[in-house]
Amino acid sequence: MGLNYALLNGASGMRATQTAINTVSHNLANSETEGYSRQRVFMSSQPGSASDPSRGGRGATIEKVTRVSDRFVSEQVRRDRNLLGFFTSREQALQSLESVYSEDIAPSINTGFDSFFNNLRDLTRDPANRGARAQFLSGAQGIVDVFRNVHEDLRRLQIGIDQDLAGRLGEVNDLAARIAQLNTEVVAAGGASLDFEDKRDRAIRRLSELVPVSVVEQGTGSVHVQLDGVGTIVQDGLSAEIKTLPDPANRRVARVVLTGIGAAEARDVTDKITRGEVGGLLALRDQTIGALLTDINALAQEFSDALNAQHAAGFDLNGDRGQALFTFKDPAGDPAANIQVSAAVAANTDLLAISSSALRDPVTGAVTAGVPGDALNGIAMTDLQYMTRTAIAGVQAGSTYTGRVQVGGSYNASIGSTPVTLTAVSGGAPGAVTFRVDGLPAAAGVEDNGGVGYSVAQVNTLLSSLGVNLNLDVNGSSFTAGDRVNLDLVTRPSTFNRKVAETLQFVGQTAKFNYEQADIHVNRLQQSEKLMESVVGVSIDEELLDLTRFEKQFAANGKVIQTVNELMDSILQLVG
Amino acid sequence: MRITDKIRYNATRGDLTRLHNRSMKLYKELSSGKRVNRPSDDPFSALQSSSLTTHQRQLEQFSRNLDTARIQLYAADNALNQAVGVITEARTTTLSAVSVVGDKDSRRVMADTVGQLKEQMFNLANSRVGDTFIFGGFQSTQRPYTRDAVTGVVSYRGDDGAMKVEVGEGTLQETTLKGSVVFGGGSSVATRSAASTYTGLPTVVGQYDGSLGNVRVKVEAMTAGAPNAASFRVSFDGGLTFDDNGGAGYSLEQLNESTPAVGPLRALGVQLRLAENETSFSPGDSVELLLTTGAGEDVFSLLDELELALREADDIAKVGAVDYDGNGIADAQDLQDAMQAVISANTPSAANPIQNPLVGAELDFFVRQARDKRFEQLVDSRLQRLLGRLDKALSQVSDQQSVVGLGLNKVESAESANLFLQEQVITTKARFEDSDFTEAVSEMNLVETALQAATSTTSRVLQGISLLDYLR
Repeated sequence: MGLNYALLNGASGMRATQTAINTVSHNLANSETEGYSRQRVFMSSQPGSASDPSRGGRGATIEKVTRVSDRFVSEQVRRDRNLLGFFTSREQALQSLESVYSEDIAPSINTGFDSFFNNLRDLTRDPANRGARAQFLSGAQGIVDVFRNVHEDLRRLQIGIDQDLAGRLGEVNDLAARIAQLNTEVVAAGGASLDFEDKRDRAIRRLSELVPVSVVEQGTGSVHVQLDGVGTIVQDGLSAEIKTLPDPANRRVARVVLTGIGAAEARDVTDKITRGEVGGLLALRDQTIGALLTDINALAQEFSDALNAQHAAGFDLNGDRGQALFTFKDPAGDPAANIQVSAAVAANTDLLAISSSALRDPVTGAVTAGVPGDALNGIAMTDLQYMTRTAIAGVQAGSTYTGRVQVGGSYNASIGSTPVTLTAVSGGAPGAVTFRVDGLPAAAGVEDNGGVGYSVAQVNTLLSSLGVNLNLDVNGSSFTAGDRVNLDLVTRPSTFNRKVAETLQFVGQTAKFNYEQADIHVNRLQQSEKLMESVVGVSIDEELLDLTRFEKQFAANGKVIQTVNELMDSILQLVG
Repeated sequence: MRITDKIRYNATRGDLTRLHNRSMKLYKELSSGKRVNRPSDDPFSALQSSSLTTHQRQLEQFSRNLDTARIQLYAADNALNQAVGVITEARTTTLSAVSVVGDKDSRRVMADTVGQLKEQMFNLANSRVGDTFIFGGFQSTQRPYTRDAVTGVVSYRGDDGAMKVEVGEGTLQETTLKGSVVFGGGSSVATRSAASTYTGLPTVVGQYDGSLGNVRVKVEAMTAGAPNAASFRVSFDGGLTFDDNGGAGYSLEQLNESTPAVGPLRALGVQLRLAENETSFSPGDSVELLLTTGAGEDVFSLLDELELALREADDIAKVGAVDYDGNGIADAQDLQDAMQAVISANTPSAANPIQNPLVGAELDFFVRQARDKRFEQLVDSRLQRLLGRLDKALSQVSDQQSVVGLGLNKVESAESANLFLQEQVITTKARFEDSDFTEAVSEMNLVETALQAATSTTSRVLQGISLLDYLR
């Protein structure tokens, strides 16, 4: 009957508005819920029946309740979070790194070098004084300690990063598992999956902060999550496992390994994760700190090599050639961690080879002692602080020649660091001895000058190609055939201090770049999240307006029913 | 674009955080006075700052080294000044000794004076600063000059090095001197062989000319006899070969004189003096002369000779086989010649048809007079020669004093250069590191103002106006 239809329509209107009001209340209840996307009701009218034109329309119905979302904006947010994560994960570590190298916070390598060389300069003022020698040696301990401390600090940072990494990868695993589970729930819930979808989105957003991911929606409502450059980590209801494994071959630094879905074995994916928080930490650990470790090891090795070479060219108080001043506790390990002042020299200050000449017994010619007041070798050692290209000449221990060997000129670095060795062919005093020259391109093919050997003057002609020349002091002692004069050639791109200063600059720049990029990306993220929020966020004013609207509609539909009721009463009154 | 409450909230929160961060940074800059507190604040400045700090430390160290150099050179200057005074006094004493006539006491007193002067010189030559002896070359830990307990001869056991300290990058300053250059080598020593029956004191007179380098000369007795009577042979290679004057041997006179023939010792510029006592040589006894090359006049042996000359000035018996006046003839021979001349003048012969020759006591008188006169002349010329050598010694020491003076000048200018450089470095460092106070303060004010504005509008924005206020 005609009136019934109106009643039915009114009722459908009220039902529809009820759902709408429910949705508004749901939105308002969740207006502050993290990651909540507002829901909207789609009402549609139910058309009349084609076979019964007098029927008219059949009221309203709720077509669907949807979640407002924008895939483009979501991806934008994920990408920006990922980019930001790369920089924020490293901030703490970079601040610690700055402290390691900064002069104001702890004795830095620069201070170590300065003290070492200045203490040596002090010693050259009074070289025979045993107290001054002891003081220098205990000061030398300073530079050794600094190397070891910096190395240890860097290693500790790496270990700290590894722990951080383990934590974050654990989170990645958890998130992947949750997404897989939510996939199942979304599919199972069918139309009522909206809130599960919200939760899944939240998990994916956090995941994208940690590692770079791409999301591929399946038609079923489930999603597949790809770890960019690595492989699928969530596939419907299944997830992969990712964790860390210490590398025994490389200081037990953690490698990242992935056991793919359905895969039997884990594979190493450390080098493949380059973005996100995990990527940021890995880059810091391996590239930045790895490079710094390589640098400090090289510096320790160079420093000890140069000092030892110059030390060996001098005489200690006993008249022996200097032995190694710096040694390494474990020669196979990292130089910076193992460098130490030679125990023999530390125990006996007489073994410091500061002087450049020795006293000889006038009768036998044997060496009796180093000249105590001669500090020229010590001065040569201090010169190493600001020389980047040096030639250090020393006579090998046990040689019968005990005079001073002076190197003049300035090494032009033409043959890099290849050492040149002069071996006495025929013994004699410096005026008479001849040498075989090895290691010098100018003498290639004629190292021993046809068996005769080169005189000192001829050797100097050959050495002119390097920009240096030798002078062998006449002091009454002479060479025996087979005695060697070693010419150590040292080339460094910069002085020790400069190298450290440049490292400081590198650390500063890396940190500064990171902080700046973090700032930039924070702003970008703010922008994209603002956009996202503007699309999916709940505006209380809007919801209240809707509430008012639906309230009115509900009242109006109620009025329809009331009216139809009155109409029916009227009709009944007519009849009975 | 829709604006939700969350957007408003997030925006204000972000802005407040940013402003607070900025104000913290400024606070740190103001409280430390430094613009660069961490390397990341300004990496390039951090690099420069680091290099400048190193430079600054080096300069401070050089300054300390300069102090050492200055102190030691000052001490050397002082010692040399006094040494010049000692030699001048010796010279004055010698001058007055030359014109004194026959006063034994006064010349003996002068000899004592010279002895004391030598003592003074010895102490000056062993000057030290702290534990460092400054006239020993590299041998700074022991006294460079030692004295033989028996002979009193002073010898030098330092070396010819020079201690250096670094006073600037690559600049070395010498801080000790080689005693051999200042005071001479003290390097001619004579010793007796152990089993010698002759027990008198041998001494070396004169300045070794260094022609044979460092050499041991052996003078061996061929016949028995007193020092002035025995005959000797000489070896310059430690006893392998001898020069024995064609088998006849040399007398001490012949070793020392240059007329009629240059004796083998005289050829080296030295003469051997054998003090007379009751003992005499046996064949095979030897005296060894250790001659080392010294760079200049040996002040100590000069003073020794001066003292000896003054003591012997009035004792004609002390005239020996040494040629002190340098005329080439041994002095004893000289006296003989003088006496002989008078006798010859009074001996009639075909070439000398003298009337009334002096004889007997008269002759004796004139002979003695001639001898005494000749002796006076010998003493005077001996002292004159010593005076000449004292002059040389004086200029030698003065020369060294000017070298030290030069060194002191260099040290002074190095010190002022060092101070200047230090100032430069500090100024440059400040430019990189220090905060510009006024700039920081004004920015701080701006930030504070912004913070005030932000916090006051925050409340209005957050509390806002919404429909809730109006819907009943």
